[in-house]
Amino acid sequence: MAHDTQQRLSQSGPLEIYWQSAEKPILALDALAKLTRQFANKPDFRQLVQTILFTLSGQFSLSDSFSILQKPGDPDQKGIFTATGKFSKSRLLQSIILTPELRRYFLKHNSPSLVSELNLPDLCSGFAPILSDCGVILVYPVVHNDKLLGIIGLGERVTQKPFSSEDIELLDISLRIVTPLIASAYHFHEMTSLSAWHLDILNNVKQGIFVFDVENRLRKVNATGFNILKRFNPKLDDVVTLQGMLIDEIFPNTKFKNWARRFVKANVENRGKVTEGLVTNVEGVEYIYEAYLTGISGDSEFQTDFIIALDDVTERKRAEEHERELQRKLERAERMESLGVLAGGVAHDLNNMLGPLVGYPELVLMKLSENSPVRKQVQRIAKAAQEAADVVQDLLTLARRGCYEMVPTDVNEVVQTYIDSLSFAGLTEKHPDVAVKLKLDRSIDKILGSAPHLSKVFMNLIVNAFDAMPEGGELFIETLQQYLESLESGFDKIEHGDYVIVRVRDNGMGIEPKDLDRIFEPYYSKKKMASSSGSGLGLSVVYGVVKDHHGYYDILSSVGHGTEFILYFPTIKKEIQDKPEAETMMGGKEKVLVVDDVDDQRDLASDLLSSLGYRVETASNGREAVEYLRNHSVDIVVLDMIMEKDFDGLDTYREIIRLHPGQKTVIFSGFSATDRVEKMQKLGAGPYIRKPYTREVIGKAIREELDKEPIATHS
Amino acid sequence: MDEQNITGHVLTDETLIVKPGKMLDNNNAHVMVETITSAQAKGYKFIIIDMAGLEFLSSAGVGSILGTVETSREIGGDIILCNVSDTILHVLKVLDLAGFLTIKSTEKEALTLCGIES
Repeated sequence: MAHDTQQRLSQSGPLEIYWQSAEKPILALDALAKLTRQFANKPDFRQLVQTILFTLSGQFSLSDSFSILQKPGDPDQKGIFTATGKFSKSRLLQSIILTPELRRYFLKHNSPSLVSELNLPDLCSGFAPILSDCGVILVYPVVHNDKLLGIIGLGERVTQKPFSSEDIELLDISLRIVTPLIASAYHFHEMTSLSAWHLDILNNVKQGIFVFDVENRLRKVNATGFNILKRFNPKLDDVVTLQGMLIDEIFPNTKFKNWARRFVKANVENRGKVTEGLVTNVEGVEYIYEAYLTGISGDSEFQTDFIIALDDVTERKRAEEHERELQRKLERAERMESLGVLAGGVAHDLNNMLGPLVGYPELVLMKLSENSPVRKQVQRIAKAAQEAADVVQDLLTLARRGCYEMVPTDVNEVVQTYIDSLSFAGLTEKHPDVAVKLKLDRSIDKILGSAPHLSKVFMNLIVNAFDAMPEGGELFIETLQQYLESLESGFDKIEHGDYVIVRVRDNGMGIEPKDLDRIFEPYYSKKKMASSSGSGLGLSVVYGVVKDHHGYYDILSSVGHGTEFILYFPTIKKEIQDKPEAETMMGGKEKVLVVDDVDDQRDLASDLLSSLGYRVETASNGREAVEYLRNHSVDIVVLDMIMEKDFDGLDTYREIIRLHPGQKTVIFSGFSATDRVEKMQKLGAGPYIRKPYTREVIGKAIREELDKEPIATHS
Repeated sequence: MDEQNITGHVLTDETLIVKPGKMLDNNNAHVMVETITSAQAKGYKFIIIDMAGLEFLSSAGVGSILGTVETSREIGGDIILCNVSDTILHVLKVLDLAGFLTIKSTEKEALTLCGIES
């Protein structure tokens, strides 16, 4: 067709005159028709506009032309600039923005105009001079459906000939032909850009977005959604393969499939939002999702589509669970702490009352003849008092205020000693159907601990294990050592390092999950109190002792299958040597000042120390002691910690060492205020001895302190 | 699409010959512009467009050449058409461009104009 036209144009003959007047418009229209055909099916906006400019340039003998096409209603945005010739380098033309005033003007004057004849309103009067300066001769508004799409500007003709009225008419006709094409290409360009923009947004959200049509076939999935699906099906390699797949096929995992069906049902019945918690496993790893279903509303053809947004909340849920567990532990610790304060207070009073009951029977027995008829009764008093003192000690341990001596301790030895004890023998005798398996790792390091307290811990756990297997079973006790960075449960943050681990496991009845958080509370027991231990403080003591040893614990329990207590104790370095045995010598002739505000306690101490040969002086409070020492000196002071509130053991000691720097002192109390005791010891005081005490305990403590090198004085 | 190919052949540091295929129209007008402007940017003063094989030249094709002429002339060079068929010459005449464009009958004449003796 195009060839034909040019062939015809080249002909000469009878129709030559006709062709000469008509050939230019025919050539123009032929070019535009070809252009329309070309771009109708391939609306490449930029190429279309450029080709139109080339065509106009060729048709009207121009070297320079430009167009600015701008989104209607968005006047602040720069339009799309296209140009030929020198206009393509003009920054001034590129900077043009079609203001609302210009838009209104061009809509009103919808035809080609010579720039020199533009009659612009004041607000945009600067526009024409800009065009003139750039060499623009003619400007044409591109109007489609009463909306201004932009303008096309043409420069001077290369032939220097002015535009004739016929030229302007032909230009008008030509541009009216291509304007609908420009409009549709422009809208297509806008839609494509918008679509790409939406896709960019979709691909950058952290949720997996799946858009399904009314037949439940996948229309669109974003990058996150594709990655979620890849998690379940690593073989997926191209999102295109998912297009058009049914929702059932998209989520092939059984759980996903059931879940997807519920969604389809929900979509049919109710197009509102649905939220689901979805947990699924991929090769043992659990993933948790929250899903949202939303319908597309509006008048578009997509209104029957629905969107599923999958949010991977695995990390968040894990963090929340961790947080809850920490909170439970904190609450448990706080409960234990307040119970401890109560128990500690009771223990203090009881200890003071028990002091004479524990101490005097020894003195009485010393004075009684071997055949005395009351000897047995006194021994019973002593035994009962000692048992009562043990219970109080449990209370103190529970209060975590038992200042027991921590020395390098072999846990295996503690366990073995208990296993060899009569107490354990009694248990096995009582439970003949329980098989005991002991596996002690002989290579474990020592821990810094108190053997009697650790023994109590193991005893309590073992007794509980026996009680949990009334029908028989297996008790497994194991020690081992491991370098740990976390516990089995993973909930406690622990100091990294080597730990001696003690496992006590039974296959008995197990513990209900609801009870697990409270089993360490005093008297929170599911056992009958008449059972083996019976104090109701067993696990509370375990808790307190483990914490005092800077240890941790885990409990793994399953109802009907058994319970395992795992205790973790930090090891100490091997080079720390065992503390050598102290001399057992108790007596002496030195002068002792006993300071205690409780008469019975003061008398008891005085009597016990006198019986050991010491010369004893007494003071009934701190101030009296200080007053005495202003004019006297003693070899050692036996100082009660808790006395008057405004002048306790620490206050007294401070005054004493001002008078007698380096004064040897032993601290006694039924209720230790640990920080104040520590302060005293930092100032130079000797050991702390817990009330009630026996003659042997007080004798050894004083003897050891007296035999020590003189105390370095603190200024 | 050989008929729409546009090829360039370097003759000297200042001269390049561009040969369009059978057609220079909407489809390849932008390629012609890119070819010429790229050569101009590289310093070629003279660009000879050898139209020996060209059978159809659309308005867009003409426009693509027109927009580049001034740049060459500003630096003392030119865009020279040669081997222009009668049909195409007629089109250029209809568009009133025969006097504006430098048109030579043969490549030799075009080269002579560029100062190259064959």
